[in-house]
Amino acid sequence: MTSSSESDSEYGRTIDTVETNFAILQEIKNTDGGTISAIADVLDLSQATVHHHLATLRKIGYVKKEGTSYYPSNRFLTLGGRARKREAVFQIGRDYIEQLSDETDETVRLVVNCNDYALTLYQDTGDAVEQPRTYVGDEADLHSSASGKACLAHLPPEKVASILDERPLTQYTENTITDREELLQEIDEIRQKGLAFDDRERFPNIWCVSVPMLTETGDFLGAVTVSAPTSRRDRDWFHDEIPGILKNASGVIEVSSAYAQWTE
Amino acid sequence: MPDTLPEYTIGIVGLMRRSVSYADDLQRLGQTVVGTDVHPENRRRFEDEYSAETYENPDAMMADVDGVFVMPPSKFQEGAIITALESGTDVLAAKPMCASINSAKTVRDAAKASSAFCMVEYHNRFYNSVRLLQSLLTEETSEQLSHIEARYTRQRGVPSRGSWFTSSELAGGGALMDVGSHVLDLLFLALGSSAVEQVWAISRSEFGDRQHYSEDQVPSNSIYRFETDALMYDVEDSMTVMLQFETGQTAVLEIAWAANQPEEQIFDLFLRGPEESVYIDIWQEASAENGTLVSPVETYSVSENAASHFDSQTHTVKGKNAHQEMQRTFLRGIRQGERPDGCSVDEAVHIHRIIDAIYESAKQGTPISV
Repeated sequence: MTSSSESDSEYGRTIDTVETNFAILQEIKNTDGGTISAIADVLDLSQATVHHHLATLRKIGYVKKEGTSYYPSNRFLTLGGRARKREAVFQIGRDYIEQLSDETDETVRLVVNCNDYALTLYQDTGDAVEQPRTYVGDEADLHSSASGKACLAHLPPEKVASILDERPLTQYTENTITDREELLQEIDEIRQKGLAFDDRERFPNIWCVSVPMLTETGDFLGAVTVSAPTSRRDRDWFHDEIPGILKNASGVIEVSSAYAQWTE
Repeated sequence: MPDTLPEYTIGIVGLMRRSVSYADDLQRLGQTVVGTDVHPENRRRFEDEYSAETYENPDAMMADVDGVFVMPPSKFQEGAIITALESGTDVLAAKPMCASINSAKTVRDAAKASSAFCMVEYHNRFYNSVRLLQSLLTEETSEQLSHIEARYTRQRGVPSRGSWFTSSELAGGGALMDVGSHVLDLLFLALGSSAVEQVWAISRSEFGDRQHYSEDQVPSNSIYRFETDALMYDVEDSMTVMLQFETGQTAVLEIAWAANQPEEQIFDLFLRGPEESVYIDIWQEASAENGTLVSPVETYSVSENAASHFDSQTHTVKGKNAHQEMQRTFLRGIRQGERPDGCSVDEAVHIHRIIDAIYESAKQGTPISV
């Protein structure tokens, strides 16, 4: 049985147990279901600790158990749904995301920066899409996705440096950028062009194009991304046809978000 | 005789390029200017340049002003105009007033319910040539007109390519909304109460991705330009419109933000009738220095003299700064406490209604009954 110890951080006093609790939740999310022994191994915790945490989470309805595996329950959607409802960029952006998926027939997403991960806040799929790889709540490393790189392009340089110092440039496909200098050079280009590409860098057969949007003070607001499998769309489609359509929509979301404070 | 106006505080909503000239004019007219914009950078520049106070939103500004000029991107005009009207503040709204006909009707209803007035920025009415045109067009002259050729075409005049001006969602449309609305305003002024029966329009969008298109008409020091990385361009940059009125009169409008034409800008109306035709070159007066003599109006008629083949007459006027005259009229309206004649919300709604039909016709590719 662990004691409920406390730590000091930039946020004031914090409780270690809560961090352990969320580490377990992250783990069962990442592995899409986990057993007590596997979680205990990965997180270097005792099986009893993991068991107590999961039992508590089941009791309050945030975790469910199937066989010997544990999964996050739908109750998390009540938190996520509420969190998203407050976001002006979601309220304003969703209609345009739906229009874009109609227009392109492909997967279109509104992506924001959440704890320096590229989080899919809203997604809509066009008629051509049967089984999209991404979903609402999907979280990608910033270096491995078009919207993530678009975000890096508009974070302060010292913030980018600290993210790259702390996190490995994990290789997901043979095209993932794992060289820091190469990544920094690419985000420079993205900043100039207002356009980011994912050349099969996160999934081996998916490419994407993304347009960053900024707030009225020049901070990263979010990105609008179109993605499609290589089997259906070629490079020219992403480079020549989609950017114009995407910029027409992202520009409207950007400007409307700035003016949202007038209508609140 | 000097017409001294009291010193009012006028608030400008939307501190972008086109609002700046108004702030200059207002200060010249002895008025105090303040402003509001969502962009901190635009507020800071406005503060510096005009030693003026700024506000983060229109709501915060209303208590401190006697009148407002509402000129943010068209989509956000409705909200700002209504905020002003509900607080009892008189409004001068950028033409064509709103981004859509529905929005325009909402504003009209708010204006009817308010103690304050809303005037719409159709400044061409204040040129001496246009006032002369109005006096030449007696009911009799106007009724005999059969056809009008109207042009508003620029060589290189797409306003801030890539900004809200060239976004259909934010501006409600392109060249037709921006400059075509001026042509419609004068057309309806000339034809009085004749109702439009049918429209047929063709729209084109040709200059959005022309890399070598030169933007000489966009001042290089356009610091009030909307700062954005987004490059939107999904509007028409030229249009050809044919209108038929219930009286049988017809009109053809040529509207272009950009055209490969020798003249920098053409803005004229040729009103033809079997008894008498009238030609008015609005651009001649608009491009002249305030106070200089210009001859922008001519009339042509059948001669009563058997020896003469054809009669023509040139009319000379003193060029006027119509923008300033419009602002004076607005300020007088505040002083009188009543809506000035002309440039009304009802007229703006009428123009919006025809614009809507024109877009519908262009979209369907067929004539539309109004």
